[in-house]
Amino acid sequence: MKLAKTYSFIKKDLNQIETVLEDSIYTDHDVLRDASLQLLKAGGKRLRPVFVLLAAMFGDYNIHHVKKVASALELIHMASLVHDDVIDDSNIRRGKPTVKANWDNQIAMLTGDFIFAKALDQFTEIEEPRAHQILAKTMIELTLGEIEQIKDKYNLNQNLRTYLRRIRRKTALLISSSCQLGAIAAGTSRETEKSLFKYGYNMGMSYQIIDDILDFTGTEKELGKPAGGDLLQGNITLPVLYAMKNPSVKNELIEMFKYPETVDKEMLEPVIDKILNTDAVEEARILSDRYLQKAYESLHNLPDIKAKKSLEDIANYIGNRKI
Amino acid sequence: MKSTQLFNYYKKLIHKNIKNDYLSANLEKPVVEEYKLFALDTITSQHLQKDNYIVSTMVVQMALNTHDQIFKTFPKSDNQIMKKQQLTVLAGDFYSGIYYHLLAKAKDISFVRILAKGINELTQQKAYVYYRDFEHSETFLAEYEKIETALLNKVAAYFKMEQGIDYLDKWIMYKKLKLEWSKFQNSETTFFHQLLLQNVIRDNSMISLEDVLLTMLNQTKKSIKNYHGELPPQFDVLKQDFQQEMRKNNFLHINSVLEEGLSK
Repeated sequence: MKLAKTYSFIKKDLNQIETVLEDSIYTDHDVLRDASLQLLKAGGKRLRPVFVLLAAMFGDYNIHHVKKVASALELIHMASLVHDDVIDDSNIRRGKPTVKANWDNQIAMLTGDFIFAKALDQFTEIEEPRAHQILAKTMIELTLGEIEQIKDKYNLNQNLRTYLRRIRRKTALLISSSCQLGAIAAGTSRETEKSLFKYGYNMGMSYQIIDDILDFTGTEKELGKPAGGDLLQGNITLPVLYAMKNPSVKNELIEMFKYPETVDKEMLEPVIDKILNTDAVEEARILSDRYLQKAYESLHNLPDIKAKKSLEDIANYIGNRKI
Repeated sequence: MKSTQLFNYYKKLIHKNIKNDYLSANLEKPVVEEYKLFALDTITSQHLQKDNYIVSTMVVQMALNTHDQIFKTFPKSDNQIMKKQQLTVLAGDFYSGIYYHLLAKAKDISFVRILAKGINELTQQKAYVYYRDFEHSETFLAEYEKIETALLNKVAAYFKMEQGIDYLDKWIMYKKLKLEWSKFQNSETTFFHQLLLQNVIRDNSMISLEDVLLTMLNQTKKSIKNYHGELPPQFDVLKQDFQQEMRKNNFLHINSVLEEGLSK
């Protein structure tokens, strides 16, 4: 099943959000406008708006109100991606050239700042201060997650806890906040809001773990970027952490990271093979499934509406991404 | 509160809010532009929540200034520079999050909107100025002034001080140019100097840079002296500050003439 099919009944509302996104990044300045549009047209699953809309359906759903939250969250996600590409020095995202590749780092920085400001400007139409406190905290955590990632680069002495904290900040919180903010915008009960937050958090954790697995098991064509890219950049993800239980893998990584600047794709290939020959991928998948299970459980107490079925289907889809 | 005390008080408050051990260990302390602090203190002087307004506005300004330090392309061969650049991107993003967090905590959503609109204008103006060649330094000066003053203009308008905005803009620009001039004299190269060299002078000549800086400084000084519009009473301190500087300059000028006379 295709992901979009799981929430086809909100397609019309998602189209409205797409229009809001396009309108909000409009500017007379042609380079900024083209760069922002390129980012917007690069597509993406629009998962955050989907979560906002579905969560809002557990309360008093009003698309004119909720779309402000949904589009603001997608804009924040977009702004963080364009800055991420500068940080990672990436020229390709989803198989297409990045803003920094088409223009330069400075334009990418300005585009990110511009989109970020548009997101906040839009989000201020939501009066509820608690919503702003949640979003502000999420944005800070998101950056702290990225800072931690740089701090822990090439550090083979990190543990599962460090990794989980990092992906919670980097990925899970923006998804859980999307669910929570959708619920707040629709005025659901605090209990429902909490359940949706938990669903988003567990989904986000599972999603990132699977992304980290795919970085080893996917092909360049499927990923839209070279396989093993995370490790090449010195990012120690869950499969690597598990694979390092095998001393020979750990020793090989220690040797390789003695001179990080010399590590290239060719050097990495045999190490990736070794990692794939351990149980690491399977163990990582088991942990991802546990988070997924928790995501399903978070939905148990919620009423059986269409949105609940969609949230379950999304979890199913995420869990079954080709590993 | 005297201005030194005032600067120290706010600098301490700002740095306390943006504290992050890893960033502090790897990046230079971000610069707090004192003249903007002074201007913000003037604009917000009658408000109880002024600390929050001043700190959040300065933090946004620092976030955007931090992002100006990013090179157009990264030097892949040097891991340390690369890491510094990556952290610089994140430091700017982190400060942006902090400004929003401060105002959200204070439930001041309308001020979030004001600053967001300011960032918007400022970013668009940067894209316009940074990627354009200027035939005349006057045109550059007029366009650059919009970058320098975008945020404070929004704040001034929010506090109903539209009447003094023209004066405020020139005062801020004068302070900025004075700072850039003194850095030039100390043989420091700044982002602003590079911008002038690339987009206005275009022959990388330091003599031309000196000329352009001095011309712009004198031009701005003249605009302030010739300003005859009405000003909000709060802006008296800005006027006094400027007059004091002019007196100080005259004094220094007379002294140097006297010394020259003595040496002969």
